[in-house]
Amino acid sequence: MEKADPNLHQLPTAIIATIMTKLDVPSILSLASTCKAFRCCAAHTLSFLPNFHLPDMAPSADLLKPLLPLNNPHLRSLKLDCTRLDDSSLDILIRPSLHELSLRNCTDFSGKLLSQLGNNCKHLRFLYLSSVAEKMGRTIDVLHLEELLSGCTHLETLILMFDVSIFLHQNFALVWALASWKLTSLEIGYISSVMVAELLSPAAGPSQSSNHCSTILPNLQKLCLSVDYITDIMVSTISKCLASLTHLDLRDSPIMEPRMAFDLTNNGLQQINAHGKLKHLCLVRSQEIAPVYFKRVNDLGILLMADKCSAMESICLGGFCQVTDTGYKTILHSCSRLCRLKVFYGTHLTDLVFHDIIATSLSLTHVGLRWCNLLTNLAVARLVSNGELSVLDLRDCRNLGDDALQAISTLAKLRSLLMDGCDISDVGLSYVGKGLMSRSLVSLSLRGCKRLTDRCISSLFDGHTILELRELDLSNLPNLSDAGVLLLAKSRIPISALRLRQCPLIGDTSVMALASMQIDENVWHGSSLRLLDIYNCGGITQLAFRWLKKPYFPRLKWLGVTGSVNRDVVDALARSRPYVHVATRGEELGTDQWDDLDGIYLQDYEEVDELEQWLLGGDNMSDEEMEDGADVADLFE
Amino acid sequence: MATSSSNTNKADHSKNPPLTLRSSDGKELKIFRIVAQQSSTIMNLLDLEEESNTDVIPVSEVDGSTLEKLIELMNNHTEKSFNYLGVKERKKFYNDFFANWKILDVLNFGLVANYLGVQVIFDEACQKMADMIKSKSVEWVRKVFEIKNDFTPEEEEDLKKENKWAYERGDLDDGDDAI
Repeated sequence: MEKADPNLHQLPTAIIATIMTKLDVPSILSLASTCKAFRCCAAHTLSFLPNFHLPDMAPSADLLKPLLPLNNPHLRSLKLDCTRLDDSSLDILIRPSLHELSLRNCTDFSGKLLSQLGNNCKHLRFLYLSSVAEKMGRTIDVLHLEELLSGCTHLETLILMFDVSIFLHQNFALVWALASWKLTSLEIGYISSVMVAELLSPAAGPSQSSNHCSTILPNLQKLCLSVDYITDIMVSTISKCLASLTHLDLRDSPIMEPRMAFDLTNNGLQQINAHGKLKHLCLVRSQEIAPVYFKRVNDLGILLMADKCSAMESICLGGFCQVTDTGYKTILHSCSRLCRLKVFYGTHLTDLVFHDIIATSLSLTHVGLRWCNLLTNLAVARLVSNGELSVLDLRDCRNLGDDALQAISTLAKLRSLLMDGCDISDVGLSYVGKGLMSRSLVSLSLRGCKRLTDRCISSLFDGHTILELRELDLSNLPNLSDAGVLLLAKSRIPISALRLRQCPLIGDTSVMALASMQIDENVWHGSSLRLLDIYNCGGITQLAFRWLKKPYFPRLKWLGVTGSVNRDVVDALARSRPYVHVATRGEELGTDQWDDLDGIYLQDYEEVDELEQWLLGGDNMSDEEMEDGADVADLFE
Repeated sequence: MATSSSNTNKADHSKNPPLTLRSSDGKELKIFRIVAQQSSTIMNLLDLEEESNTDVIPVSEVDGSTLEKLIELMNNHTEKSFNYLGVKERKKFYNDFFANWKILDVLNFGLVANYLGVQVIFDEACQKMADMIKSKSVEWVRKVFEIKNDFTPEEEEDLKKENKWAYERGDLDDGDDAI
């Protein structure tokens, strides 16, 4: 083909602008820095850009202002991290043309954010707000919520990730009655179960009749709530009052054993899906704060529930410690359309549940069986008859070993595999490296599989078939050393998230090896890592930090180190790399629903991430860490 | 020759003889009228010429091989099955079409599509270029498109400071593929 005569520089503005409209904001600014013509074009593009998403960093008001010119009447979608913003930026953020708005970490804003949204963003369809007014001294009250709900009359999805009990008011139910009738999806970060029942079925008088339902939220299809206690009353009120409900997600994390009146029992379970439309159900009691379980639910409750749930596609049950194989088997046999099954703390769940799974016509795609200690390799062998499996979470099933991995390696479509705390060895991983699964696997977690050594790395990568792997968790492996990480670096797989937390043998050499990772034969790329967690690794000294500075790790966005050692060096690093999130106290580094990254390999993760993140909140604090005298308050952050 | 991959196309147009386009290097390519409708420029040129005699439309700005590829893509668009493709499948289709193209060739293709007024193809070519430019460094863009840096050193410094965070995302300058 002929070499193009006109180069980009001489092109009409229209073409440059068209290209720019298809770029993300950082790329537009990059292009703008090449020459004057492009800079002009970029400014022009920003004035009509419809989508403005900045997932990776929290801009300051000064940085944001020129990027969001007020004369852009086409801005439809805005997604920002508002950690560094406050009420003074409201005029930049509140745009009448917006259809979709996601603002997280709005700690410094007051309730005015909500009222201004209600007053000005009449076309809003999707709204996500997190941590609003959480900073001391910021005021927010039910009037702000009222203005939001009554103003945004086209709202379809509302996600409020903060403690909604601040809106407690005698008119609480009335305020929600103002919500758009188009609202189909509601998610609340924290609300008390009493408030939920009150909201949906305001008490007419002293006789608490849950048969009376107001017409609040009549079209709601999806409801996701984090509550104090999941109770029978709340569950039956929800089931009765929301006639269109297809997706119900309830989680609690009680601080103490609930009394009968404030707990979920078989009766409550029986009420679920009263209108028969439910497709997704999630009921999870987390042991994050206290070892509390659904003690009042047993197989009978599950049977009664399964009776009505033949159309269910996704079921997640956590903390049902009294349910046995009978209950779980009933679910598998009653719900013929089931694609996703997750069980946490299936203390009585055994291999028998999956014994005749082939006989069912199930085609499971996402399976999670966490803390199911009675499961053995046999169960996994049966489970893999579901050839469509894409996500398999078998964390903390202590009796699963290499034979399970051998069975799993035959799954041709598996993208995510989690085997934390399982009894696997290097041999098991050689099956992974050689099996069908190696070509599709994107995410692998082997945290705490203490028998693994450096050889597991060579087992995984020697076959050169495991090409799609992007996320690897090798935390808490006492036998993993720098040699293993060197092997990983040499494999030239463009890993984007690597976790090596609490590995005593990992030291500076590993950091150096990762910093020098070459991806392509010819060109020096630098590491592809966007997330690196080396918290509490035994051999990390000041030397490692020289390799964490620029220009190494050019794509790094998340870094976990031990802050208490080398305090000054860590601070200096954080200052020199202001757009890297540096965690120093052992917090888990997150990809959340924001990190679109390349979008390619996170597509299936929507359901896994939210719940896992929430559950992981306190669960990863092992006994050893608690003995270290870590501040107890840190556990609850 | 223009490739018409489905028989139904041929049957439909038995009444209307195909048009002939002549490229800048003298290559003559056939295109059916219904396919040519995607190009506003060809339609305009048709109106200007008298219908009867000359069925040969000179497209002097475009070379033969680019024109051939463009006609191929336009033919694909008119096939009924194409309209039923979902978003992902369309994306895959264009990804496959542009696989292994050098960016300057995509640029050339886009310019031709623009000249011939085929909006959809122009848009897809721009999308492909955007995908290739994403997360490349400033230096890379300058080098590939031979752009002269006309900023003064002070301006350059200011820009660097302002937009530093945008560059921080890292450079995936695979020199080989795209140039």
